[in-house]
Amino acid sequence: MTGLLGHDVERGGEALAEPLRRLHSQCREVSPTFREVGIALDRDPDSIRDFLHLPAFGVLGQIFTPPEFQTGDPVVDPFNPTCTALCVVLEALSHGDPGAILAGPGAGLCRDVVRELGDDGQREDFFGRVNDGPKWTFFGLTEPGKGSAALELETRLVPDGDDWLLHGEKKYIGNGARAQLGVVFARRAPGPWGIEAVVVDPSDEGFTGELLPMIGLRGARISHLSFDGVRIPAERVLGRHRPPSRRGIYGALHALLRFRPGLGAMTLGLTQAAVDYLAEHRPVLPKADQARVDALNDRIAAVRRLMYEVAADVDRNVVNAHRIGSVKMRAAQLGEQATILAAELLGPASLVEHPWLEKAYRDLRAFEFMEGTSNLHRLSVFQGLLKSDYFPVDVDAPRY
Amino acid sequence: MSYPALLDALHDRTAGDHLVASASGVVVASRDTASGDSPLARFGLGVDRSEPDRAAVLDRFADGLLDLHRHVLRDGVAHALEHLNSRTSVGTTLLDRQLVQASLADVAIEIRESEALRPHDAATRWRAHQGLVRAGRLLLTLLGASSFLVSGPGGDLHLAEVTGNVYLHPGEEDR
Repeated sequence: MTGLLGHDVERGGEALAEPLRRLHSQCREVSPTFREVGIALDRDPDSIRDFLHLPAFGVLGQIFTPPEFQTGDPVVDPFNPTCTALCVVLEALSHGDPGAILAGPGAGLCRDVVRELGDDGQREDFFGRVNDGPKWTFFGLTEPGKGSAALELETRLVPDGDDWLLHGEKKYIGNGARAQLGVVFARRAPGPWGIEAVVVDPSDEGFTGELLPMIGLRGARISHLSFDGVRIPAERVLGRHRPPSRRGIYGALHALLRFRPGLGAMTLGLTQAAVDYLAEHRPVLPKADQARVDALNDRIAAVRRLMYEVAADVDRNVVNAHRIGSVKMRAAQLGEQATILAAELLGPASLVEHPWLEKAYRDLRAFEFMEGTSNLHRLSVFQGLLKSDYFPVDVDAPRY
Repeated sequence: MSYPALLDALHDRTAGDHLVASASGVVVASRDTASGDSPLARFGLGVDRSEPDRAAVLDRFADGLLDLHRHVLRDGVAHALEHLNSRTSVGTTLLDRQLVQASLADVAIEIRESEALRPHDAATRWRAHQGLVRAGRLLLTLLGASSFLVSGPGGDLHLAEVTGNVYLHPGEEDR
């Protein structure tokens, strides 16, 4: 038994409106091709260019390119790129392979920060360049000594006439060393409003990118970036027309919190794929083992339901970091549990006999720390409790 | 020494003249000694096939693998203590955080308890392996993205998990 309700959405997605169900169905039609892409990228991360013709990459173009900048024929029916739609697309495609998504070209996580902060010229320049042939981008926030603690970042902007010079390092940056364009968060002055988001061109002098040898998700080309006086013209400071409190760090949080449900969706997609893989290869299990799988499916469905709830909240501009983080955290935990259980139930040497499972087993570990470790999200939930802001107040009437 | 080198040393100590093959006929050793291609090659391991070894050999090898897994975990704890002490946030090291301290203590306690388990059959060895996997995953939650680097505790623990899946999984009957 798969997690799908017939050929419709998975359990937990019952509340999705018909257009989103159709979007889900269309994405699931093209997602199996990502399975092959993921395996190929695990062997050779640079083979991504061999696969960019696949329709699934076209769908990614639709979700990561603002509608006003989209060109060409859509692969799936045009849709409003809401947070809920992002979750639908990313979960469905991740059932094929989330690593293929992360390896793909396009604006990715930069989409929201450029769209939100950029003026018309900056948006046209950024998305115009991204659309001009396959272009990879990176989102440069995480630092070697600070992780993704955005408020504590140390990469700095030093004034040089009307321009700025960028100095510092970023680590664990997806696509960093192969990108043609990126957004870097750097400090112009002390305090949270002293942080700016700047567009960086890796071909500029002073930029170096080094690939990091990672356990999984190899196609994402996770990198260590160094900036040694990279010149940043004033027009590349995103949101320079806005007050300091509405650019820089605001942009980082705006982008991260709106993308985080999608990261949970990617995790759930691969998690569901692992459970489905187990069902396909061991359709009949002893009763006690089947009960363990059923329990896992129940929890996946519950987290999926919560994911769509937080995504719907984001779509009506209710952005609750505590609830969003807990969804992402729980999805990551379920992912690890699913692959460990599948490896156990598929028998001795299953991680050798089932190369796809071994890859999923590695890849899913990355979602533990991406966009904040589980421990950080636990602390955030606690902060939500202190503020009476974790439990929603408008849930259904209790049934006791 | 790297995990593949330590695994080879365990093969040597256990069987001497050959590489130990699991009950399902799979051999995992360093790439220098097991030439078969697999996704694990990138981590320095090769996979071959051979006639399964005798039960007594497999039992000795299994006990050695559990020791090796605990060794990797203890190295991982030492790495975490150093790593977390070198990282600061909001004016203090990450090691100063109560949540981090408690998690590290849980990992250490699990290792000690595992050392005292004295597994006596395939099922108890498998359960001991599962306990070490859980402890390792907890440890890795403390290391953030660095837990995903091939060189470091994350890489070695992955190899210990896969090797245990090959040699310690008792099969359907004995699980």
